[in-house]
Amino acid sequence: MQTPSENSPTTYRRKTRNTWILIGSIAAIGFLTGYFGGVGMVGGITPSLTLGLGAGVLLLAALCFFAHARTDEHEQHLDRVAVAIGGALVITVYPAWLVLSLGEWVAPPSALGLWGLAVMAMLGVFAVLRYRHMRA
Amino acid sequence: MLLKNCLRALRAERGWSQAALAERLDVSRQAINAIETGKYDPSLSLAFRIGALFKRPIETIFGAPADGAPDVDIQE
Repeated sequence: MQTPSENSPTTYRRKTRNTWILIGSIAAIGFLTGYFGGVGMVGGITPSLTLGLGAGVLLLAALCFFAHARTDEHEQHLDRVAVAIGGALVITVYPAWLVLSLGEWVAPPSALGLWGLAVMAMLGVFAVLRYRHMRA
Repeated sequence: MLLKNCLRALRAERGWSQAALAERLDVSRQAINAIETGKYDPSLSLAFRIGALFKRPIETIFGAPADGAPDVDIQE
């Protein structure tokens, strides 16, 4: 009989399934961002550099999700906090960026810019949370 | 709403360090510290593992803040 702390085959399958769902989601978001953000990942002339960058980002995202799936539940909670703060930042910054661009103070919002902002915010929050976690 | 718990008392009763308890529960030492200090509520799965390890129902380990932290009967 398995003890509760052991990973049963069901738990392992569920974790693997969830990981692939997350990877699929990030791939879909990356693909749509490329399509609607004018990055040129699909359709027309596709610069190989852009494709390479896209593939690199997706590979990094996949590695992040695999790493996430292998941490304990408290660390996963901290990861989710970092992602939520990154997402919240995009939601709050986008309208401000849009208003500023209408006044022609800044360039119009771009999907790539918002992605960059979200990623930097997530990485920043992640680093702070993990630093505090390690010192606890 | 974060739960109160008596994990620290139960651990101290057995003379285990946070690292030793973490190893038994297959989580990080920091996770145990976060639970003990009330910064993080464990998942239901981990709560049951904690209950099984200490041979106690989880409601005697975790409780709502209004009820205060559950008391630990050392004699048990």
